[in-house]
Amino acid sequence: MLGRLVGFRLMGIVPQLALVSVAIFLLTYLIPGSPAAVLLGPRATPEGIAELEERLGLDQPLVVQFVEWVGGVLRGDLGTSWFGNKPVTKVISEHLLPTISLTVGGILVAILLGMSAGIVAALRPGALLDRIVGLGTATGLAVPSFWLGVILLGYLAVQLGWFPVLSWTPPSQDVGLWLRGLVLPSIAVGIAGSAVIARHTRSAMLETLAAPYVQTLRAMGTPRRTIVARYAIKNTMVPILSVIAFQLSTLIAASFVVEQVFTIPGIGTQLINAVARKDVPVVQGITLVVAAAVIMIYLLADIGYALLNPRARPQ
Amino acid sequence: MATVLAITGCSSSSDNSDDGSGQGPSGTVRVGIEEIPSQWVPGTDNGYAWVRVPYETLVGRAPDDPTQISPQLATKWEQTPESITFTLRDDVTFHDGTPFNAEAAKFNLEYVIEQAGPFSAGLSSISSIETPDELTLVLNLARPTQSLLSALTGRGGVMASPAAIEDGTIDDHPVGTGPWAYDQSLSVPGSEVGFSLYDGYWDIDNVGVRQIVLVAIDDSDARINALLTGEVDLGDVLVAQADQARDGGLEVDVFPGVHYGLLLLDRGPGGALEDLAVRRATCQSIDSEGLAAVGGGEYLTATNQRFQEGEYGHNGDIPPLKFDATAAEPQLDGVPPLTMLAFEQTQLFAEAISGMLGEVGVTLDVQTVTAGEYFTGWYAGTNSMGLGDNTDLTPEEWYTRWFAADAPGNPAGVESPELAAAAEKALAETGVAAAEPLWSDVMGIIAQESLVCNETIVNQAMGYKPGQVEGVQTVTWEASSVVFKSLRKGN
Repeated sequence: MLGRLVGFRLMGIVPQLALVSVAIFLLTYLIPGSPAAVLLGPRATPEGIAELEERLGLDQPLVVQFVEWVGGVLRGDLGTSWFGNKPVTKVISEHLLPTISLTVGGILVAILLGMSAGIVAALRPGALLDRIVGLGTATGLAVPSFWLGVILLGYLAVQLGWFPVLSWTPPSQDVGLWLRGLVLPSIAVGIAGSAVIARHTRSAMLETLAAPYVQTLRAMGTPRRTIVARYAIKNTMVPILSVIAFQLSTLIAASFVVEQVFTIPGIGTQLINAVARKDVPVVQGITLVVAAAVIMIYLLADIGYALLNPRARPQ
Repeated sequence: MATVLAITGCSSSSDNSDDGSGQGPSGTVRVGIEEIPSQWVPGTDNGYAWVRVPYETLVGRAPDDPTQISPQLATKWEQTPESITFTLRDDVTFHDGTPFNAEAAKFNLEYVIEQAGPFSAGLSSISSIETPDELTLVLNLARPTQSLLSALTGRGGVMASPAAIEDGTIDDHPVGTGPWAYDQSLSVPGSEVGFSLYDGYWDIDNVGVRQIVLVAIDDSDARINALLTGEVDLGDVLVAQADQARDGGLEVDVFPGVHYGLLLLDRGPGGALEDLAVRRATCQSIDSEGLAAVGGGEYLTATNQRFQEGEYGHNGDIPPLKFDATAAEPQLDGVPPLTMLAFEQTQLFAEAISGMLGEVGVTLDVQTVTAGEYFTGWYAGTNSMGLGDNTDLTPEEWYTRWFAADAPGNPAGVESPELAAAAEKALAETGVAAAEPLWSDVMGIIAQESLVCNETIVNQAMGYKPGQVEGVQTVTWEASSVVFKSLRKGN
């Protein structure tokens, strides 16, 4: 059954990626201005621009350029950066680990903080803790991640010196410093997600705790801690899983901004620089990889949902 | 007295002296920069300052007077109207151990010219290159030039190992002749590039530090924070943040980095700015001091011409800036709406200019676009005016880039007969000293015809913690640059 679900969803990925590819290609070409003019800078001559456009294949019809790009993508070749003269796959692979580290750190913060707060709030609805969580989640949703990052950096890194300002150290160089450097950016990027997860966890937990089977367990004298830890959390996870998947995809976007604040050399920084320079192959490559990652996240969420909830599996 | 642009027959004696400590290079200096160069190929747009760490050029520039050409990989040179002949050092090797000689220099210059990159135009006066022997390089000239030596001091003139260029490793790993060689063990992809002292360096006695690590810190606040916490020793600081940095205990050196000028482009037949009286009134209605104030304190300095007193090509007869909106207003009556493109860095000033012109009844529509759209729009010739970054170091470069009839920065393609004649005379003069008054005349005509107004010096700033690093010497007209060799690690 599960195999059928995975197969069905995998088949759905193909048209999704095809649509995304067309959109990415067309959108990057809608960015105004000539990339050749940017490459050559203020000293460029119209002849030089025309020559470079020919060399980059920009004089070809759009359809030809698209077919060549898609052909390359299918062969695993995302093209070459016009500015770095480096394969886009290399640009991405060199900068993927910082982004993955930050995203994983952020989602861990979001899940741990969000679920704990949501459960605590649901256990005593209307009590002081519930109100504090309510206020906290409203604040967490309102605070932009980059602003929180600046504040965290200013106090905890610059003034108190507890964390480094330059937050990225490769784990191959120093695992301790890698983890220490990721603390503040993970909090900055994960706090908004934790607020969303906390709210959903609270309502899902309240709903679960009101379910007849929980009432039965209570009547049987099962301790509340056991009810929550052994039964309620598992059922609460079913709706929360899709929330986490959605948060993970939005967190990737947030991490692109937070990377700048914490000087993390991830693919977000590369994407922002590439857009500014109109380095089309890099923009297309990174966007495609991120889009594919988001699609995969939703696929995994679907599988997880089916694992937790047998009724969601195809019959 | 104007500085002489080039020196012929220079000796190879170095200006750098030992620090007297009697110790060799020591310590690591971490430099916070905006962005790591995306590639290290000669002639590519790979950053101003950091290219100086692994690379050197045939000739260099004095840090405080960039028009003063000094020996570097060439010990001496002789220029005639037809050629420049360089005598190269005989004790230089690239970091990969291959020798630096005339063939290597020829390979590099031809590579930059053939790549048709952003710096190839600066070498366009070279018609062919000869290497009569291992240490003699002859650049044959297509026309007399006073700006080629200047161009050779810049990014178009860096010398990299031909072997590394040919095998493509140069993209990621710079292989030059400079004091420090690329060190992968000190580098982190995308964020740090490390360099260690090259033991075979020809001038090792004058090098102060053993390692230099360039750290990419895109955000200006983060750069200041990293300086304050000591995570970097030296780094670019926005001039607008200079006081904030000083308040935090940093030393901040502010120095002239880039020129900007408001170029009046729509001068062609029927153009909004064809009439000289309109151009003069346009310049007259812009308050340069007010414009400088827009950038805050030390950021901008308003001047009346591109080349300042003491610089080659300065014209002392150009009158000082005169802001007189009342006198300008009647002249501007009936001027059609003007247009100007701006991008992020120039938007503030473009809007300020628009406001000032609005005061005298002229509509200037400023459209903020991406850098790509900006350059395309400039060449398309559809805009009335534009803020040009006048990074050209010599009058010849400045004239041929912006004002000659065929200049890329002159989309209208018009040039007055007076200016063309004066420039032709200056270009034809082979003696550098003899050409100076002729270029000064050209500058006078450009001012008189109001082809550009509100020349502005954009200052740059370099911050560091006193005691953490010593010997910080900024380089005029080279953004973000310091003399890396003179750096010493503090205690």
